[in-house]
Amino acid sequence: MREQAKSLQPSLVARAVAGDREAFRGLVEPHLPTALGAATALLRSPSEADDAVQDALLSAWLGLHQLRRADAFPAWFRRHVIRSAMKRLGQRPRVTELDLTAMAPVDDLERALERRALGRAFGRLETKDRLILTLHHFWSLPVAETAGLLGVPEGTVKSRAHQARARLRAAYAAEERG
Amino acid sequence: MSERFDEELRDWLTEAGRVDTDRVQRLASAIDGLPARRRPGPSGWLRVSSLVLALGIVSVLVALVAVPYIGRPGTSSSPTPQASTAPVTWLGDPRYERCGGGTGENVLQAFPMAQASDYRRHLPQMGLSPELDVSAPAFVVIFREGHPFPVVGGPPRDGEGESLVSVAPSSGQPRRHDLCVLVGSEPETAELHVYGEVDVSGLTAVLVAAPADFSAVPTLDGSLAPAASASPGSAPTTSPAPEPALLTSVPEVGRPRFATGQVLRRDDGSVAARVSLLAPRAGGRVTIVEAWTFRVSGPVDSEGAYVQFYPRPGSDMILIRVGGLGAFLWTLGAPPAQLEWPDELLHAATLHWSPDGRELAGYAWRRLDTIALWEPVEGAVRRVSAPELRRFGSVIGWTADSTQLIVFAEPIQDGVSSAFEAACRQDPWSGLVDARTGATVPFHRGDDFDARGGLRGFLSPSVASSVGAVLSEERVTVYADCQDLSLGGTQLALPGAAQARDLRWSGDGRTLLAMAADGQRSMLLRYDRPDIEPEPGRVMTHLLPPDALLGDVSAGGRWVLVAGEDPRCLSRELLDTEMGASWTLDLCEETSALVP
Repeated sequence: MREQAKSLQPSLVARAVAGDREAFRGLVEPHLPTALGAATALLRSPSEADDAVQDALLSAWLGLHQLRRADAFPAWFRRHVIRSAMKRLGQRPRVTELDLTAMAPVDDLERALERRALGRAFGRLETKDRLILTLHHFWSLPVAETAGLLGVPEGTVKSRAHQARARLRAAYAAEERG
Repeated sequence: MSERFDEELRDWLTEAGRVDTDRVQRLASAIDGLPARRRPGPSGWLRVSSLVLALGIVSVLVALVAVPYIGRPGTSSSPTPQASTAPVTWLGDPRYERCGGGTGENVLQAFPMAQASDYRRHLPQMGLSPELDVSAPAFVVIFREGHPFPVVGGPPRDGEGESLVSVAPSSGQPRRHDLCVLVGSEPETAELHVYGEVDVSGLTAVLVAAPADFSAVPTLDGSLAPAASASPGSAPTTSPAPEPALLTSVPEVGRPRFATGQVLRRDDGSVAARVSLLAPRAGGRVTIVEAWTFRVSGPVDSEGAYVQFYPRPGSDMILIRVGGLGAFLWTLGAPPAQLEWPDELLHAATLHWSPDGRELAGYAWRRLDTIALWEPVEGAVRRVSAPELRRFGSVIGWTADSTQLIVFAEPIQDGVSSAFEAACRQDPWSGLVDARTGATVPFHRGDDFDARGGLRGFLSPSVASSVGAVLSEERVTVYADCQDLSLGGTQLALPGAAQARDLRWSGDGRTLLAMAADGQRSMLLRYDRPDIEPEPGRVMTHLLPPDALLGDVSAGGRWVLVAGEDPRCLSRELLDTEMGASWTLDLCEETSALVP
């Protein structure tokens, strides 16, 4: 199925480049859930995530002719999503919103509290740390693609991911203490 | 502990990023509301290369496209080439590029604003856009949407050398267009805003000066231009030769242009030749950017007259070799300057620029153990000799740092399409030669070295099991044994029963081009480096005749020259590996015109 979708990409891209919205829909729809999810995790705000992905849709649509290879569309679209989300992150003051998604049944209260602490710790991280953790742990991107997205060597990705995780652990520990 | 934390983090992210179907569908429905996009189809190649086409094409397009639209202040019918909001003026401008201006065919207007809040003045019908009410500079691109844009003249602004042009709708209906506004002084970080269906009635745009001199570009669309001028001591010759010898090359500055040369006439004492710089255009057409005709006097090479090009890496300079008689250094845009051909390289079959563009290497005349190194700009020639060179070597390359020569054993050319293929069949001697001291180091299996600068496809299994290119922090290895290729540890698949015949790196080391053949046809394959490009993979960009040979690759890997051998004549094709387009230069045509 995935192979079939991939093989359709060149023709979908060609049609979308020519202005066919349905073809564009066919291209992006499979990626919308993860794009929204990543943006939500990154921005910690569903409404802002919606806006970010909508911006990404627009920029991808308008910039589709710049896509170098049809089979690179998923990664290329991810790039638009990340850019859009990062732009929003850069524009707003750093706030940690109430994490309503962490509400949990009473019988799993301890775990819910842990999750909430983790969410707050994540929200305290710098933008670049959030980004790299989202790319790695949510999107499960290979190091090579993450390096391409961030424009840094793979070794830098690995060290940044390591440092980001260390800072998250420290922030998490602080949340649990406090 | 660490793994558990990672798992917790992953779980939390999954939960935090969980979205319901309604949300996805709501977003998908936004696709219906996207503004119409209209992309210039076959001319898409120009988009990326717009930086590349530089003043010549810009000037011509401005002259031909902008002039009819833009009126001289107060006289709506007179052309004003000094001022233009025409899109071509902005080709290559990063702000214009970021807004998706591309080739300009879908761009109605593009103009800068001193501050974004000026949008109210320039676009009075746009409506309020609070995000633009800032003092940062901005850049506007209005997309055409297929509607012609009427322009009438307006009064000039005093003292600034700029004009204001009023754009009035031809009817009372609002004119709605998509537009992009880039807010910020730095193009890379500026905020991009795109608006759909904006009423641009009453638009006023600040005009900027366009290049005034269009005379430097001789003509458009394929027909050969008369030579712009003659080189020192030469007389233009226009009669076609009965045996035109035409060679082509792509300048290594990544510009999608052909340098073509043609011997027009030869006799016992001189050769008259013409060189042209051509740029492909949309629709298979070609623009002549510049052309020169000249004559070189002296004893004509016994093997016949010829023109060879050696584009200097990283520059706009091409070394032209004519008929074994002399050389010219052609800085594009200026007349070629004649050089004295060094005796040491009198019969060198071919020369090889060092990647730093400093010197050319070639086998020294009658000295099999010597390589001559020539600095054509300064005229200096020096020699590097080593006894081992007598044993191996006819193919010369450079390491990327320009300090060492890569020398490969001479392949047997009979019935073999390329040195790469020949190397696959033999077990040649190969090694490195220090370009200063002449010290040699033979290759062994497993050796790594920076291959980008000089490898040019001459890989062989006996050279090394891994031939590497060191780029930034990591090492990329290329292994080729004619059946298999691997790049950065990733196996590169070849289609079907195809075998690799030749390999070339792009100048920037990001792309590997391979010519493969299965007996019936040749295939040009493009591999973007898996450690840089997302979702790497093989892309077959062109199917070609079985005898197609891989030629030059442009710096960015997009443009490739391919040669095909026909019993009657030699042909060249310029291939765009991103758009799949091609331009054929049929050398059997007396006029040397390019045909799509």
